[in-house]
Amino acid sequence: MTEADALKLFKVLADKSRMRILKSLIIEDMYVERLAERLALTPATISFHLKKLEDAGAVTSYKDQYYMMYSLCKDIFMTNILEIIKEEADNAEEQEERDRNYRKRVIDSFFEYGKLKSIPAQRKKERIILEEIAKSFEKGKEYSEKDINIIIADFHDDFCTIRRDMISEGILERNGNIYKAI
Amino acid sequence: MHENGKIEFLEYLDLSFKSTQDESMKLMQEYRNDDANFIKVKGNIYQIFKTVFLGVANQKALDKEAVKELFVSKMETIPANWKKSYENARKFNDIEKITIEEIKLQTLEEIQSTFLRIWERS
Repeated sequence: MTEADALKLFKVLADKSRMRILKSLIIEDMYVERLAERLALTPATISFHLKKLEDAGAVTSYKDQYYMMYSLCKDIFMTNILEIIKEEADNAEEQEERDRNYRKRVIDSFFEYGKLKSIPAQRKKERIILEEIAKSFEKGKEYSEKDINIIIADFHDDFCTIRRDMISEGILERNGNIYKAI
Repeated sequence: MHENGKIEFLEYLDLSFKSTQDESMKLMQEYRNDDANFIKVKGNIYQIFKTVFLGVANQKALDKEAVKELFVSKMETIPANWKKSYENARKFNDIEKITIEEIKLQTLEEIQSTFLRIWERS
């Protein structure tokens, strides 16, 4: 388990409601409504906590007839905490992790359900957003301006600004009326 | 005169808000911060509708029926975006947003039915 994974898990575990869910799941696998009844919480709240537990690798889910069942990932709890503390953190890896997290935060705050909410004013953030949109282009493939606009318009109405910024950022290359993702 | 109804409804909103504050404090002491935050969302809804209600009920030109009509219409228009956001969250299985929008809509439903009950008998 990496240090980042451990921190994520500890953070998730530092909550009494989630601990109560885990205490229930250690007895047997359960579905949302059953947990809600047992713990006197709403099904929506239980789902919220289960999602956090699942993201941290503490629980897993599987489909059983009509129900989505949740079970405890026992292996993760067998990890020796001392081993996690002893683990030497690699500086380059740490920096990479920080960059990844920053990128994720920018993407999460500027995109909602796949749509760009606004174009960031900060260049560093805009670059991340442009790179994210550019994932929809096939590298090396030639596109007409119309095709490029249609693809960008799926993310944001101001496709002209985005297209132009992609060129100035070196993400797109323009040759006459033909565009290519670099 | 709808003064009694106004006092009773405001009392209900204040008490409900106070109870969410107490509950969220208790939850935080129990290390249940996420649950406490959900309760705070509920508390915010009581406060929003207290402000909306005062804005409506303090209009001198409105009689009891007109206050009811205007306040009910506000309770229908204000959550339109919440409903949209809830539907969107469901579509994309955004659990956190689903939970929050559900709390907002359920709290409003409770406020609406309490208002109608108090207003009818005042």
